[in-house]
Amino acid sequence: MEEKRVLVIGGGVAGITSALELAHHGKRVFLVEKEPNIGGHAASFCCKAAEKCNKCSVCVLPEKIGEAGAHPQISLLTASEVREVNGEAGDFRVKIARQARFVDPDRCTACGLCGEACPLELPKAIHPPFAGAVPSAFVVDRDRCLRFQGKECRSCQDKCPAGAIDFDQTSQKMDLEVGAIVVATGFDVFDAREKALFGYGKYPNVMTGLDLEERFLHGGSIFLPSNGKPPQDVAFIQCVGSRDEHIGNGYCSKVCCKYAMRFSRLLQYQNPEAKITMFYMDLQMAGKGFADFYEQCKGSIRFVQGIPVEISPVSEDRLGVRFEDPWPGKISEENYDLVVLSVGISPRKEARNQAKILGINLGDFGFFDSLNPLENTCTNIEGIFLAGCCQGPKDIPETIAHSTQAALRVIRSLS
Amino acid sequence: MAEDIKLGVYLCDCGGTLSKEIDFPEIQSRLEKIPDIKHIGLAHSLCSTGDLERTGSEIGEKGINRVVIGACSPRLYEARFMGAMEKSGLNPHLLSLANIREQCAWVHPHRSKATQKAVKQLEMAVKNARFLEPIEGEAVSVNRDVLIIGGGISGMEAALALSELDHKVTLLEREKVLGGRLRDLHSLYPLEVTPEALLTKKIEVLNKRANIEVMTQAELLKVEGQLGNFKVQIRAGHSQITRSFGALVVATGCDTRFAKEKYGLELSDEIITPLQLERMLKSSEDWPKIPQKIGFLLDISDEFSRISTISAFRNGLAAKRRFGSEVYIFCKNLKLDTHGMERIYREVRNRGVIFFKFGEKKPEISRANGQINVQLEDLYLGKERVNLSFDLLVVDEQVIPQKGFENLASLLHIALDPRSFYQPANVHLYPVASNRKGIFLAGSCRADLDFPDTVADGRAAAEAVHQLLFPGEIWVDVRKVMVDADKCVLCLTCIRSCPHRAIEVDPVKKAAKVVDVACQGCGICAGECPAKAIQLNGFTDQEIGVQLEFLKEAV
Amino acid sequence: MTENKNGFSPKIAAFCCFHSAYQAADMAGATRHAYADGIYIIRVPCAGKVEGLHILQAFEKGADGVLVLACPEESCHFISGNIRAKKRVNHILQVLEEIGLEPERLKIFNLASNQALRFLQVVNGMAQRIKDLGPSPIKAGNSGR
Repeated sequence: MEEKRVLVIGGGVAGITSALELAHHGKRVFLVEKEPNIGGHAASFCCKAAEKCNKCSVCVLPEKIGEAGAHPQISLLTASEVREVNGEAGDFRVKIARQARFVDPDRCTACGLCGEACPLELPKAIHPPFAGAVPSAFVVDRDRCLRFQGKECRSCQDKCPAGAIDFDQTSQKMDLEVGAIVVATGFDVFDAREKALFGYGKYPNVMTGLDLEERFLHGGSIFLPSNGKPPQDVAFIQCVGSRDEHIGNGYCSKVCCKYAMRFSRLLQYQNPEAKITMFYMDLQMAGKGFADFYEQCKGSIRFVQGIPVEISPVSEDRLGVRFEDPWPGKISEENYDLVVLSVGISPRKEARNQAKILGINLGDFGFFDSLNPLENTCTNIEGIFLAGCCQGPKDIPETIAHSTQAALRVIRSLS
Repeated sequence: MAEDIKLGVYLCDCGGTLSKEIDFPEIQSRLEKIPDIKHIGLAHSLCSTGDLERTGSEIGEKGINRVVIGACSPRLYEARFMGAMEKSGLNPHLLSLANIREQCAWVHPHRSKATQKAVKQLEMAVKNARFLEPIEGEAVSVNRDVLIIGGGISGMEAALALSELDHKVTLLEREKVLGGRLRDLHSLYPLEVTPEALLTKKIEVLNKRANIEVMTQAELLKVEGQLGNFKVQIRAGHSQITRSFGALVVATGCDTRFAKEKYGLELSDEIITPLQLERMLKSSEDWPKIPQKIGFLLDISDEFSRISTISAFRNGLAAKRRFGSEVYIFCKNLKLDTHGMERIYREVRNRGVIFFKFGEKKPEISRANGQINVQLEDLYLGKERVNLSFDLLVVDEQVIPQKGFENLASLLHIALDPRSFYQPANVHLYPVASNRKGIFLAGSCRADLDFPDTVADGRAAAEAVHQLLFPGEIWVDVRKVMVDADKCVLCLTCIRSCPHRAIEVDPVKKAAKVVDVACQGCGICAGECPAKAIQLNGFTDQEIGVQLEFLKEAV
Repeated sequence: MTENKNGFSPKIAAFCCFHSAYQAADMAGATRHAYADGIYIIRVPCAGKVEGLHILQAFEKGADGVLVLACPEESCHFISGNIRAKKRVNHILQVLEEIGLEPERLKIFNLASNQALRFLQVVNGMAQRIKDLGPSPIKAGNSGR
């Protein structure tokens, strides 16, 4: 292999950062991403600025996504997954399964004529991925598209002026030879339904932190699902799915206290009358710049050092939150119109399977294991490195630092 | 302009798709009326290799010397268009882009209005293009040597990483020995390796590397120059050395401070700092008095510090093991957000360390009968006051910037954050960038980081430096920012306003001079100059002003 | 949709910082939500490049409104550009007051690169405000020039 080639598995913040570092070094990078677009979770996160930037770091991503999409040394293999890895450092042979996505990202210009041609009412079965997506190619929604309901329809394919749509496309296999692999497969957001007593999925006005991200990003503000009004009494419940021995997540997800406080300030900025209560165990506030932000929050958020046990509906628009108020030391029930569950970072459901394919070990709590805490991008397999939350919860700047380190280790391993 | 302007206008309808929203023939007929437009072309996929080549040939054949493109957002393919221009022999900066897709066709549903607007946008771009001047690129050779200021763990990690990448590294340390705060610690629990062993190993490797030069008892005296060529004066021992480096990494660590005013107490034999406890635990000598009960206080000097938390856990366990003492930890919020900390917390509890949590009311600390008494209301025990006596009380400390930070910051002209740590609290700089190109920050000198994160920082900084310097040269746009020496009165406003400290005084011209390799092209200097002596190429007053001409015309 | 019964369609010059507002404008474009066609985006590398001179020129040449769109405070890509822009805008607002031009015609907003919706809110809000104010009085005296 004359050219140094690297496989990066996962196109989120971590994968993109590693890919860019390696590409800048002149390495040929193949970035495999299972979704049709790169960007990972952070691409669906919103800006949390109130009067000032709240340092959530999400805005550093769009430029990086654009850069990764345009860099001549980086090949994006979206809607693809790694199925097999053989060989060793310097000479890995990887089998990649490329899903049929029916829209060719190299031809689609995101003009939108296909969407107009689609016979369905909104939402259309073929639509843009999300604003700023890379690749910007449209995506077919198999749940909606008539073809996947057993009906014949080629309206979009016929209309496409670029010839980018091909429903005859089948999934393909691709073989790749690389010198090193960076695993940047990210995390799953904890499924709040596992905490049944919180009623997520049952009561419309119970949302997760991820729901807030998406609603702010796409809607600009939050309205109660039950009545469309802006929330007045909001409860944030921390540590949902984290620091919880009962479900095997005996670790802190790191990002939730901060994002909850940022959302609180944003909600109050949009609606100064809103009252926010944060139910927590221990406030995680360490980190650059956060102390000053916390000083602002102290005056406007009511902090209760105890996690509620149950949420129950009081009326169509109000929820009762039952908790032990620690300082009076009594059981209380208070009513809120919006309850936000600050869900944490969990290892991917596929992590076990991915670990098997790669031959790497799983570590604490199901995240990938690193060699030791001071070499936390190296795995038990030479030539395979970890970047980002797949190794453990991190915020965006830490993910960037970690992924940069991983790139460094790759460069060392290839030289 | 001396030369004859020959504009080439290239429109793209994005695979034919924009033709629905925009009437391209209408645009072409409107633009044809403009005399210095020598060519108007419509492509279907201007970003494709084929169309780019065709465009390039046309530019060459027709002697086009200013290119206007009406297509999708410049954020997508501006670099490609510039590449095509360069290939055809035309300076790539002679390009003006009109975003007629994302900022027109896609957002204005009425075809006639969208077309009108696209015409206006293209006219703006045409007017702008007439004033564009070529900007030449130049490879500036850079020194690949790196200076690392601070020989603690972050600095050492950066040195080792850079040395592996074939950079000559000079590691500057103020004290007699390397190691920084690592030297004070008796253990790195939960890591199995001891601080001594880790330090010994790191220093051994550092000393073995031919390309690492360690200077102890050394200090930075003066720094001049920019990325690629920093001229540095160092005092090493009794001598003064002048050296040149391509980049600098600041890894000077942090200091800690007992916030006496928050405790209302003085330190004594029984009330000690974590550092004093470390020294005691490190020493193999017998302690004059074995402490039966040790209390650790957290969240009083500093509510936001991770360092104090891990220190209390680690030292509490160590004291228990060594002396069999009863250990109590008093805190408000446990800092458990770093890797493995929750697990450590549970282990510490399982081994019998008892935790109490206080709220807004701080614990009351008093002396009685040679013991230290701590009283508080605990979160879970409520009104029942906890009242305990200790032989030894370990206070917590504030994490503060390292001594001498103002001096170093002013020597390097790097900006601080509101708490005086290096690096403004600006997410675009995270993790390791400073406000100046070529100067990086690593470790606790920029933020309260736990041990593995300070290691990560050192390596991330090394990689960032390596990326900049490894080709041995940096491609810069020459005279991207132009200072008119006749107008410049050396008021120094630009030098003070430049957030990147990229402007210097040219002693010969007696005017301000923007250093190309350090300039980031923001234009703040041009905006601030009271004498209008500075122009940013591509965004000059003329180039911006002429775009505003469309406002004069009737709709 | 931003024309009133007299057919007044405001012309608004929007100076957009390339690293934040320009990207947000592109993202807004990708959402395909419509906004007033009288909004013309002028790209600048940083809001700190926009000078009082440019803002006044815009009004002089007939802008009914001027927008300066910058990165959020403390998140300027170039550290201090948005602060400088704000100072200059405040200075020009004083100038506008002195010459009798309504201060609502000049506004500075902060937005991040991924705030497509905020971009739409800002430009649509501005277009509506200017529509209500009517054409710039400067333009009215400028006919034919």
